[in-house]
Amino acid sequence: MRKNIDLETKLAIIEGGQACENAHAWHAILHAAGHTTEEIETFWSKYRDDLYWGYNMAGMYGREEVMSNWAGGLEGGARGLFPVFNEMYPETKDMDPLPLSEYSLHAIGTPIVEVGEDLKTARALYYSTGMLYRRISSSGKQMAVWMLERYGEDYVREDGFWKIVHECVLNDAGGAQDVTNFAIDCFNKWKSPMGPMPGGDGPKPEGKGGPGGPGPQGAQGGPGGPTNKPKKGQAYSKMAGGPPKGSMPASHKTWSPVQPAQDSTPWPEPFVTLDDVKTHYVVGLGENKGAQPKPKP
Amino acid sequence: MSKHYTAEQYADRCMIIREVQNVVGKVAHCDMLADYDLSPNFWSKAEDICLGVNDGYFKGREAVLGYYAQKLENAKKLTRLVMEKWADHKDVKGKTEAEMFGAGYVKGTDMHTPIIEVAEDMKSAKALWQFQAADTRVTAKGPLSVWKIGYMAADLVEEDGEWKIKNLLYALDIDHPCAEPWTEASKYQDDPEYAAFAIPEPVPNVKAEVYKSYSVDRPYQEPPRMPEPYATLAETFSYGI
Amino acid sequence: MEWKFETRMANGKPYDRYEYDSAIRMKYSTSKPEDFDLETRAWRAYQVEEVKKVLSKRSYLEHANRRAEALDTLWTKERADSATYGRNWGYYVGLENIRKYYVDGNPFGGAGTDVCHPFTTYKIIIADDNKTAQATWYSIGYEINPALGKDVDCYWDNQRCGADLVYEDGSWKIWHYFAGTDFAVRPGFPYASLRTEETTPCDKQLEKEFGTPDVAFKAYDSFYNYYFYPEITMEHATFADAISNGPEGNPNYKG
Repeated sequence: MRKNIDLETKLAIIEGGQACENAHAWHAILHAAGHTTEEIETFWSKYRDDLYWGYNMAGMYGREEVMSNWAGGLEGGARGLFPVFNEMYPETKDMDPLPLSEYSLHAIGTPIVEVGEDLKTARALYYSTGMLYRRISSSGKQMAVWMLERYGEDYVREDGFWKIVHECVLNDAGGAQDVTNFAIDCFNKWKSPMGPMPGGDGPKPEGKGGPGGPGPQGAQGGPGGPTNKPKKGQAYSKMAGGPPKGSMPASHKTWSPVQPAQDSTPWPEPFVTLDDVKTHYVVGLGENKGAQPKPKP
Repeated sequence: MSKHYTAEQYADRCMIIREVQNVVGKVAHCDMLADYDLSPNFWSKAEDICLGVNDGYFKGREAVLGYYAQKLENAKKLTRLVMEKWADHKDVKGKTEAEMFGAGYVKGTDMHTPIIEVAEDMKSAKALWQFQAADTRVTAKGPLSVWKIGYMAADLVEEDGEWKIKNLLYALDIDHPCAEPWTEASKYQDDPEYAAFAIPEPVPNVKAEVYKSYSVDRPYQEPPRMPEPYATLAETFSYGI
Repeated sequence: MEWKFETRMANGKPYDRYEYDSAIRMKYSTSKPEDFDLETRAWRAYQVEEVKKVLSKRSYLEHANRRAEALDTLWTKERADSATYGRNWGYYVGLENIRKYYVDGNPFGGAGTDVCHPFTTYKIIIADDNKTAQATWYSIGYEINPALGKDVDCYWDNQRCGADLVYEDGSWKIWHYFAGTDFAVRPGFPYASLRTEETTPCDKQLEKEFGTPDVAFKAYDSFYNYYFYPEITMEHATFADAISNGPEGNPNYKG
């Protein structure tokens, strides 16, 4: 804890930490609402172009890639689903299409927050026990999955407000709510990666999942997935709508019995300014190589 | 009515609250990575430190360090067992135990619902969180995730300008395999194929029923006491014994 | 609703940037910490921690089965008549009515019962006038009551919550509390087996347990996935009914 600093500096540190927690919570709720473009335009850095959004399988780096692949991918998926919902539920025609397609409740805790000595940048690590669900859906059936994740975030202060500049989301485990024992599900997939998906009466796999971790039935997160338009009666995730791969490498692996400990988002250490931090939360840049084992003699 | 402080005091108290959150959060992160050799760094140098779990206390410095030493040995043993069981797997073949450290285990402890009180003398703090974790590992029952939900409580003291843990308590409210109703006995039984994976947890040197995890016949119980405004650590209750 | 978008380029390829109507409906202020003098800034920063503590204590006292104490120590006295406790099916209004439901009708406390509604992912904003505070949060909680029978004896209760607090006699007190359940599901129950129109047995149990509130209407509904209430808390100048976590702020309230 920094000592011998004046009141104004202390307040800047305190307010920064609190604002970073709020910024993450705003991210979470606008992600739940499906308003990703609005989220980025409101709560992410306006002046830096090195935005980063990464997850287990890949990372998107640079404002345009984040906007096109992440925001555009999710919102494009929602757009594809909207006519299907209009056909199935005519009352949806006048509704905001973005929130209709999927809902996430990425609850977070364990904040470890450091504000830089420059008082203009900050870093935080969080853990999340969260979930993703669909009630109205193109299949007419519901879906919900647990997601156990870590979040590494870097922030900058712009025009008096704290904004996200990098976010790395790492999924450790997950699966169908509430019929999947995560370890058993991960183990079965690890044993036969191309085999049938476990999980009882849940929906069939829907191509790959997408941003934020595993898709339905614990399918690995990642871009790609079905390219056909969604149809009534067919299970479809807006996240499967096909954002192309990000330009940055994979950062993390979900649990398997032979997966060594991986500290892909180490806790933030005290620092001077974000651009001097070698292991920031952009996997693939600086010294952050992502899912490296932590050898211990 | 909350006490009124000067601006400096408000700020100092907020700085301490953030530090308390960071320190105990780092202990949780060590637990996720089985970095039990690092965990003692966050503890006070005092001899009378204490770590509580549902069935007792690790009382005294030697006992607490012994707890982490055994947790580290357990993690290494699990790594070895995993490497033996899946020796032919491409991700294992040719790897050293050091490179494979932590295999077979992950647990993210999501701490929330914070109640943090800073002492009037600002030399100590008390904190209570609820937490939720899915302990995912290879067990004697085979690969299994177990919900570990409950309270973390801590007394912290300032030592050489840094905040350190004096007492830490884990009170498990739910301790049951994931995706099974808590009101029924678990269907998961020991599996002879995984018998070697029965790795015992460290045993407290002071046995006591500190907290009882859920069972259908459990009488309703008070959670660990919540921190209350206090003057000095000596004048309030302790999360240790 | 018509989709509008413009085509932009990223990495040499075109993509669609969609237009949106803001999901943030609160008329928010642009106040920054520096807009306040140092004394007030320090006070406001500390109050954020105090609000966290009040809402965490609410959860703690509920788990400790000390509901009367929660109402007596954490809730407003000066605005007792307009205090509200809301759930998916409406609101109890006034502290005495809240007490009848929340304390007198408490089904927990016996052997084998357990209840936990944590406070996570919080956004906490102190109004610019320092008189009220607002928080919204997520809560993945659980309830256990074996007496209810096998299908509903224990369940996850996945909630989105909001509260308005008032600064009263030197501390923060809960004025409006709202918890919207997205769905409740018994561990082991295959949620994905349900059709869209179905709810789980545990959802029905929660509705039954809530009884008939003073102001009854559909106050929270996960049918269309995300629901536009509780409002996304933002910096604001002063409290207003339109942003309330009581019924007045609910888009379905006909008043």
